[in-house]
Amino acid sequence: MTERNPNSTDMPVNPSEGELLRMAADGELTPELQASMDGRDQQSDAPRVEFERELRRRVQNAMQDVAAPEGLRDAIRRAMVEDDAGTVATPLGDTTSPSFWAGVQRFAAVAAVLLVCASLIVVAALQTRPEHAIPTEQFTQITSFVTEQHQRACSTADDEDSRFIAREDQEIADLAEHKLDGLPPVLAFSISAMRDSGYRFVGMKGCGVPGNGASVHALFRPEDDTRKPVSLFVQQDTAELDLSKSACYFADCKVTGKRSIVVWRRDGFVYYLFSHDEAGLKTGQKAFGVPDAEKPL
Amino acid sequence: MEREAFEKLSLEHIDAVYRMALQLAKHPEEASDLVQETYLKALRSAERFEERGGGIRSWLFTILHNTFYSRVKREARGPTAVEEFYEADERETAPHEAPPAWDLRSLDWEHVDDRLKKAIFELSEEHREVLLLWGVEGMKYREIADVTGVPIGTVMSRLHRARKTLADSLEEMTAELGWSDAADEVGRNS
Repeated sequence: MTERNPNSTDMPVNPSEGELLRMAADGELTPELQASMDGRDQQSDAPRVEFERELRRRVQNAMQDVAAPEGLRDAIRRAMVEDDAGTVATPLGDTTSPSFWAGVQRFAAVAAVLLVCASLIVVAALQTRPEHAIPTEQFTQITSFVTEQHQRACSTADDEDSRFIAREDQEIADLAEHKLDGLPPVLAFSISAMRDSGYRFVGMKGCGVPGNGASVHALFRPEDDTRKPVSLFVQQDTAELDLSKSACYFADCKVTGKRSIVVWRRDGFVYYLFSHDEAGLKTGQKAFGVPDAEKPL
Repeated sequence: MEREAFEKLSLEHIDAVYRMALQLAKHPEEASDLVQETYLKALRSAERFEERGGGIRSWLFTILHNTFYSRVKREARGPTAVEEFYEADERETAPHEAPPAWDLRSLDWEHVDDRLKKAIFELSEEHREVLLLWGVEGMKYREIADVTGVPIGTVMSRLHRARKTLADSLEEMTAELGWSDAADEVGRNS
């Protein structure tokens, strides 16, 4: 019998016959287990060990022919550059330089300045506390995510049919049911409204907007070249962001720094509308029924 | 690690990372999303990689693993599914039976590869991941344990269970195609 706790970080001391043979095939025997293996009937063990080795080779042969799709490498490079521009203000190497903290006087001076700044911020926050508090870090993650996703979706139209898999009404309803537990009312009427405004519905796909709620991404492309694509991200509302139901909020694109994101909350969902085009945002606001009132974040 | 060096070194493993992502997500588009998120997370914590040492490939797999299961937890209808699996796995014991003795090389490989792919595809995510880290990426048990964040005992249990499933599937195939006599013959002679 095997004497092993499945939570142990060590190899089994006294493995079963099956484990011993598989460990032998994998080259994982400890010297003690190797000795015990050497004392066994080699003629009987050899084909079983060889079976396991051959199985490993066959698993490798069967599965190793998958390669990353064309364009993914470039997409990652672009995303890295965008990430550098959007969230990494200084090169990573600079942050590891020990010389900055080497001077005690400089450290003390910086600490004093930070203390004063922190005090001022606390006082200011107490005096101007907003009605709705939105976690800044999470909201930054969300705006970074929708920016990246929109950029990627817009960067190439080559394989968007295979990515935005839900295009017909029933497919949209099925995906919404699967991902969001139901079709958001906004999606039920907005696609035709966008079409009437000159935007083709490319399709919808599941995505992972940061937060506890599941989410989808719908993409619209303008029929003419003078405007830019529009994305709508819909996330289940788990009340993580304390958003007003009667207003919308604007946020900046993490890459361009321009006002490109509109956020609002309705019917159990949080919506993120994204476009680099002011006309696209306005069209989306109208088509998706975004509240007119605007609140600061 | 310098930004450019990180990009060059990490992108050398993109096929392996994508291959694993595809096996986890089972969908090309989701796999591409996973890979991109994995690389961005890796970039943002490239300094930690230097502190930790070890191979960048294992580190990318670790980030991929954590990213995938974070998504599973976030998106799953039943958010406790992953925990339930781990609980079940703790109770799981490795198959004690010895491997079969028949010679895989005597089989028709066109059929075997397809059958293996199908059997691998039908494994649970946790079993499939461990199997591929072992079979395709050639990792040792301890390395797999580091990537998946589970004890070596659990790695061995999952790996042995997955191999047993594949062996059973191949045995069924030999019976269906009338090759069982040959397999039996090898077994008897051994």
